[in-house]
Amino acid sequence: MITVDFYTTLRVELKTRQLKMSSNEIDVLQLLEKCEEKISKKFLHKLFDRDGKLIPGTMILVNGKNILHLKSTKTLVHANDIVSLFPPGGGG
Amino acid sequence: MKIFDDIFSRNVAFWKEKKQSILSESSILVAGMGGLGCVVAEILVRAGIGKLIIIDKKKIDKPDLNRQILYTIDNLNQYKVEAACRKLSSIHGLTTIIPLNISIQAKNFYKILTQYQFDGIADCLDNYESRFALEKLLLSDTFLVHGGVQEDYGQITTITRESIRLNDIYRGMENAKNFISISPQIVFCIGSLMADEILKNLWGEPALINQLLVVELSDFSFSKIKLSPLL
Repeated sequence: MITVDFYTTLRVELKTRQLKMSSNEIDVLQLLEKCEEKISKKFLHKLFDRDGKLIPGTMILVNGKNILHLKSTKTLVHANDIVSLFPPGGGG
Repeated sequence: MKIFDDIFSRNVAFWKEKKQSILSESSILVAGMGGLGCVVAEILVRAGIGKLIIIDKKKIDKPDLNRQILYTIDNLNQYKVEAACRKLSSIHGLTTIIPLNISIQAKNFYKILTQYQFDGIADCLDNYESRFALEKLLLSDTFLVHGGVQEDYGQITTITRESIRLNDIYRGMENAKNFISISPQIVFCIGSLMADEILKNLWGEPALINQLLVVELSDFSFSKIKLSPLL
């Protein structure tokens, strides 16, 4: 199972803390599309712009690494991987 | 010694004299004297830290008063480091406070900071550009405790030379273009947790290296995300 954890505003807006997704190898974008289907709520527009780029202020980690250091939305995830989604707090 | 005993007696009763002694000989650089900086600095002074170097370039503005606990309406338009220095010095007078009215982005920032020694850094800044510049101050024997807040959530981690860096965690993040909404209670909460992690670091017991602690008041959850340093 792949674990998808929702944090901060995404958790509140989607009323979802965590999803367990059964899937073989899949890329991040495809995984998140499956998550949308599973909870029947659209949220990709909160993460990506129309060109599919991450919206500044949004962060996606795969096993604790920012996907911008990996292959962005094409990063492959596998069983037992953990995907963390959130806009972190930017103020001080 | 009597003053030391009386003022810090509740601390010592909990964490014992050895740890109190370490604090009295330690110094922390607090970068940003906004919401988080005020809470972190006040707790460190009350804990008995020996020296605080506080940095901020801004003056106190009305919207600061919902969360910046060292300031009141009487401090409007004063420089934050000056008002903070007065308040922090008045608590018990046993902590040396060094106010630096400079910007992290100033060209001579690193040159000025080389004049000071500190054991750790509190990142209480409000933008990523300054945070990435601040972590360049890290030496092999220092640590940085990072905090960030927004609305009713926030996050904390400890950065060292060997751990993942802020620039790795927050790659691609841009500074907020608009006013950031922040509740007072999350600032007190994250600031308190930052101060606790700073004490832990000073005592050689850091809890958040390569771990991002995310705190959400909406459901009172504390979540630790394991971070992976880049190879």
